[in-house]
Parts: sequence; C-alpha cells; structure tokens
Amino acid sequence: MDSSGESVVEKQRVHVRPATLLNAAPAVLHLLPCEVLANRPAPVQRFFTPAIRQGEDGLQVSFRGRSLRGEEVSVPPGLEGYVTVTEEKGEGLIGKQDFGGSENNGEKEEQKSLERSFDRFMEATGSFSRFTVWGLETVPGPYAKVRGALAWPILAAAIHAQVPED
Amino acid sequence: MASRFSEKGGVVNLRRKVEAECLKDASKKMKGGLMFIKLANPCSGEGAIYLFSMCLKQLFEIKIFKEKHHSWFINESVQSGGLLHFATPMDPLFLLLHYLIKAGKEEKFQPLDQVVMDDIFPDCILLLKVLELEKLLHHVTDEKEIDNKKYYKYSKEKTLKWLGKKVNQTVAALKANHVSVGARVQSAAFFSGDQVSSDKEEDYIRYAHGLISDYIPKELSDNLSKYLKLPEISAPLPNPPSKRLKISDEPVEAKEDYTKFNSKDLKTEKQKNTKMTAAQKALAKVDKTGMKSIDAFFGVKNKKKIEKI
Amino acid sequence: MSANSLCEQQPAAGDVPPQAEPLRSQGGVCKATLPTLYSELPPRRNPPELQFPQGHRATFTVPVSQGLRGRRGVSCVSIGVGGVSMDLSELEKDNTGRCRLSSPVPAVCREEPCVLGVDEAGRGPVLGPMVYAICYCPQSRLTDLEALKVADSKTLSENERDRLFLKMEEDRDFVGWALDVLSPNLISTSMLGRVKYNLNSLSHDTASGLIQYALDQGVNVTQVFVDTVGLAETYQERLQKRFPDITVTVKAKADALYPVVSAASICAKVARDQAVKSWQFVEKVQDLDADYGSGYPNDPKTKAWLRKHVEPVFGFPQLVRFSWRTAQAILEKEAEGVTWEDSAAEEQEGSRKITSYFQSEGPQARPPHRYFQERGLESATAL
Repeated sequence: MDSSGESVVEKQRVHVRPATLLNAAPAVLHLLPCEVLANRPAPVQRFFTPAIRQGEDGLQVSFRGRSLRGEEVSVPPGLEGYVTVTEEKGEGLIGKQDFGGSENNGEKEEQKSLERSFDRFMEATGSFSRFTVWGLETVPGPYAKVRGALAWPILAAAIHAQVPED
Repeated sequence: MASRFSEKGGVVNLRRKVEAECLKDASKKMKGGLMFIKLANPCSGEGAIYLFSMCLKQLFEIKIFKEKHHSWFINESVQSGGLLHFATPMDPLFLLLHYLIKAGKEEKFQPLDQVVMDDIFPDCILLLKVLELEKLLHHVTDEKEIDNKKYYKYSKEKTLKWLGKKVNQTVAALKANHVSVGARVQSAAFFSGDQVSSDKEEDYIRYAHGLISDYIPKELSDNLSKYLKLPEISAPLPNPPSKRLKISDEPVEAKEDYTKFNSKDLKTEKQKNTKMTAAQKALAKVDKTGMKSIDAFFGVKNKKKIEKI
Repeated sequence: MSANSLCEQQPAAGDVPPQAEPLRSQGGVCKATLPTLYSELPPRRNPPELQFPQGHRATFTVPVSQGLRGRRGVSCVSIGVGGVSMDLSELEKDNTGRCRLSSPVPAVCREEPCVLGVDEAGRGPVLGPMVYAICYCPQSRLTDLEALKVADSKTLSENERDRLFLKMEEDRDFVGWALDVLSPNLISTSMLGRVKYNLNSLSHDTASGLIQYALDQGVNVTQVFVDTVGLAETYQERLQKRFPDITVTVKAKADALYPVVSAASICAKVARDQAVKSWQFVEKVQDLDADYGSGYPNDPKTKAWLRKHVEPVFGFPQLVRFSWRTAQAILEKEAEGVTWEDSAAEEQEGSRKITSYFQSEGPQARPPHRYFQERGLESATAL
C-alpha cells in the first residue's frame, strides 16, 4: 500500500485550475527576514501595514520588537506572480491504480481529460507584480539573495533559447 | 474529484504571463491544460518538478527561491518558509538527452516514442508534445526517415556542438547582465561592476559551462569541458563550482541532493521492472533521501506544523 | 556604544518601585477631562501603498470595525483646573520612534548661569514610553523653584504633579524644560538589535543628548544634577568628560535632593503618564482593555493585560516593550515561534543537520552551480 502510494507521487500531476489564474485578485505580499513557525491567518492590516513608515533608508517597520528595513521589488518583466494553494490529498485516493494504460495511448490522451483520479489540483488565490522585501535592521539591497533570484528568469531565457543554426 | 483546498498550503509562484493570456481562450475548452509533472532531472536523474502547458506545448523549469529564515505575509495571513517559485521556459532537449543517451548505447536508430519511455516518470511522454520538437532534435541526433516515419540516434558530436553554442549564448547573457564570474567571489557579489570588468573570457566560459552542466549528466559535462578546451583545474571534479565555493563565503554543502543518479541506476532501470518494483525504487531513491531530508532541513512543511496548531 | 553596558536588558529588580504606582490617578479633579484612548477626530488617512483589496480570500480577511478604525486622540489635553498640560501632539503623530518636546528657553537662562536637572520616568514598566526630562533655571532663581515645593515625583500624587507642572509653566519666564519620549518600539528595537543597545546606554545617551540640546538652545548651563542610572561614579565620569565645562553631579535619589531634578522628574512623569493614557495605538486594535494596571512587570493586572492582548503572530501592540522578560515569557508560551538569522539555537541545529546529510552522500555529490547557491535557488523536487 505504501509503495503504491509512492508510485502515485511520481506519476501524480498537479493541475492548475485555469480560471483561478484569470480571476486571481491582486494580493499584498511581504517577505519577512524571519521564520514564523506557523501558517495561519494574521491581522497584517491591523498590526503591520499601519506601522510602516517611509524612512531615509527605505521602508521601516518592526515585528516582534525587532526593527525591519524594507524595499519594494518587482516581479521580473514578462512574469506574473501568483499565490497558489494546492489541494490536500483526498483520503482514499492514494492507493488507487486506475491510471494504467492511459499514458501509452498518446493519441487518445489529448481528447481524454488529462486529469486522473489520483492527481492533485492547484488554485491561484492571488496575483502580484511586486512585493516588499524586508531585512533585519538593514534594507536587503541589491546583494540580497532574493534580489539575485529575481534576475534568474533573464539568464534562464538565454540558457534555454534555441541556438542559432550554422 | 476532491475539492478541498488547504488554506495553509500557500505557495508563491512566478509564472509567465503569456500562459494566463493563452488560458483566457482555452480555459473553457481545456481543463488541465497547465500542470506540474515530475520528470527525471537531466543532471541528477532524480525526480524534479516541471510545468507543462498543453496549450502552449511548452515546458517550464521550476526553481525555488529558498533561504533560511523567511516567511510571507500574504494578505491577511502568514506563510512560513518564504518560498518563491520561478517558472521559466526550458529547452526540452536537455530532458530528452537523458533518454537519447540511454538509448544511444544500443547504437541504432529508433522512433522517438520508443526512446522516451520511463516507468518511474511516465509523464516524460509529454515531452513529445513540445511544439516543433522535430525541428530541434537534429541538434543532438542523427536522423533517418523511412516511410514517413522518423528514426533518431544520439550523436555525441552534434550534442557537443549544440552545447558549445549554448555556452556561447550563456556567456553573452552573463556579460550583458553583469554577472560576476571571477574565481574570487564574495558571497554576494553578483552585480559588482568593477569585478565584471576584470573577469577573463575563460572565467565566463567556465562559469557558463558550470551552468549548462546543471542540465546535463556528469559524463557529458566532462566531455563538454574538453570540447571547450577548458584548462583542467587541480580538483578531481572538472565542475568548477564545487571548487570555487570554498573560496566564496557560501557553504560548501549544497542544499539539494543531486547525487543519486549514476550509471548503476541507469543499468538497473534498463531491466524490465514491474510497476511495483519501479515504485519501490522510487520510494527508496526519492522520498527517503532527497525530499525527506530537504523537508527536515527546511523544517516547516505545512502539514507538520499545522497539526500542532 | 557606551562603556558601561554591562547592565542586563531587563531593568534590575531595584529599578521597579517596591510599591507599583497605578498609572491612573484616582483623584477626582482631572478625571473628567482626561483623554480617552479614542476620541472624535477625522479618521486617519491610509497611505496609498497600503490600499488593500477587500473581500478576497474571505477566510483570512479580518474586517476592521469602522467605528474604531483610525480614530485619533486629542492632541492638547487639559489636566488640572483650567490649565493646559503638555502638548504631546508631536508624539501622537508618530509614536514609533523618539520624540523631543521642549518649552521655550526663558531669556534669563541664556544670560545667567543655570542649574540643570536630569531625571527619567517609566524606566521599569513593560508598557509605554520611557521619558527623559531636563529642567533648568538660573542659579539666582533656585529659591523661587524651591518655593513651588517641587519634590521627588514618586512622592507626589498625579494631581499634585500635574499642578506642579502647571506652576512651572506659569513660571516660564525663568524655568525651562525639555524632554525625550523614547517609544516602547524604540526601546524594543534597540534592546533586541543585532548589536544590543541596552537600556542603560540608551538612558545615558538620551540624558547627554538633552544636556547638549539645552546648550545648543543657548542655555547657559554651569551645573548639572543627574539622578543616577547604574553606577553613579562611572556615569558621572562619563558625563563630566562629555561636558568638561560644566560641573556634573550624579547621585542616587537626586530627584529628592535637588529641586531642579525634582522638577525634571515631574516633567518626565507627567509626560509619561499622559503619553500612556492618550496612547495612539499604531495598530488598528479594537476591544482594547485600557486597564493595564501600573505597567510594571510585577503587577498582576499588567500581566493579565499582556496575556489577554497577545496576538499569536504579531505578539503585542507596539505599546508593549517586547524586550522585557515578562513580555517574552508570554510570547514564548502563547504566540507562534519566530526564528531570526541571529537566533543562535537555530543556526546550530541547521548546520548539524546539513553536515550529517552530506556525510552520507560520499564524494559523488554534484551541488548546484554557484550561480544558484548564491541566489538561494534550487530545482523543485516537490510542490
């Protein structure tokens, strides 16, 4: 039972529900310089946003008595940010093996639904084109890892672009 | 179909806008046009997540920004981990090479759908749906056409030439984007203009070779290094990053396990396995090592925490 | 950083008055005119970047009651009989940092040699700002100041302090004052900084800053009396070094011994009490129980208030000094865990795990290219 569950994990697809991408409302995001060991609702609008000040060296706020400095960063051009949630695995789906054969029948597959009973689903719950990055006591600045990461799509485009013909 | 969504499982993705636009037309007709699938990472052979758009017939690589001590505030909620996913278009040849090289050992021309088969990662067949794939294949294969059906055989020479061009265009992009490639690197010196000017051509080629090597098996990476006539460095590994890392402030320890897949695994995979054995192997190889350790290391996978609350 | 920085983050037990004094006076005279936490003024305007789409992700959106949202307290408050007390409007505009308030400098103080006293209020409490005050007058008018019967603020009732402060305001032709309000947020972020800035250093620097401010304003300061914080000798040495042309006296209980220090202590205490009472919560909090007791950590009422108002993610409103042990103990128990890159325990745990992980992998490991490592990027193996 266990091992068949694992094979499902390898074969499992996570389908993005397309309508949710189109309808995703703009979301306000802050990347904090600390790990809050919880995923839960938080009164950000009541406790955090009203305390943000524009200081000389960027945005200022405090969290749990510690001073944060922040800056707004943009999602790289050509990309759109989405906040997504992935459906939790439904009980009883894991062990099912009714996917046999569907992979091999390439022509039919396109007509058939690509969704199998053991697949999971993802929804976009928000979209964003910028967010605020916070550093502990100093503005993250251009050398912050996340700022570097945001430059990745441009380099990726070059690596994965088709090569010129001879 | 289960429709319960975890409120806690928020993930932040960056995805190309074009999909959303494409989906505007297609969303009604095409359910499931956009999906995350697991395929063999061409560098490690381990499973990795890719995004495939049936609508665009395009493959996307997923990179995750993952640094310790981050969380998100997303509207009126907090999400631990602070992960940011990037979905960027990926050249499907890197993933196909994994299968072409394997099949190439048999020294014969084969139709593609007989080459691209995988018990563990059956979704590899979606690679065959990539737009204009046949136009790309000649970069890495010799082709024969019999009765209107195409047959392919891996060509190492063509592949090295193709990879050489990849390195060239990567070098150009590194220069254009002022990426610091020199051997002496402070951990955070990726945009230092002064440093860039002093970087040598060889450094760029070596750096680009290292980047490309993240998409090809080790043996091919070694061959590419020779093809590019990169001078050997004294370390046993020709892959420069591991050596340079010691110079930089970065921890030498990687955050990701890329070690599992070697030629031994390839051989065992070739044997006809039942689905169950393949599954067991997947369990043994992937879950117990890579994923689990990473979860533990980053410590905050949603479920564990949520259960405590 | 000051040299005398050995003091603990939390004030020693001695700093807390043995009998915690209630923040709210029970006296009847001024009660009717005291400001409430919220009073009727136009709602605070939200900065444009804080605009937020409502209604999205309904489970997470906490609607803010329009009734309480953004109300502001009055800026000028009447205390005592018909008088006008300290104008704290500057503080109320932004109480997340430091705020300096001062009287005009009496002309005579620029000409004649002056005595200046320094004292503080609200050092011990876990709630609200700490206020540093200076008060000064010409040496020749010291007897006039004494005639006001100023005394150590701790021995006076709130009404008496308010009355004395008003008298000093009436004598503004020869008495001047200035004060620094150090917000609880400033205290928290200083004490919890990567480089810890303890309360003693913060106190000393604030006191020096106020003396310097008086000098900059043209006050002819010749003598300074200071109620000590920490060891009197080292404090005196430091101040004397900083102000070599002034005779500096640092003494314990200076607020009882020197009228000018008593006067400063009254200024500080009046400001502190008023700031706490008319505290403008930065947070849009509602249903807030204003009965926080004395604010001292050993007051059961204060503790109960803290426990009642702990928010699992954010902890407390900025009124609370997060750096106080009392506050931290409650957070540890009742709020979500938070780890920072400089949390020592976390670092050790992480490095141990990663080492053992890699030891088992042998020499075959191919780490991701340095480009990715330097940017915290890795290939996705799971969603």
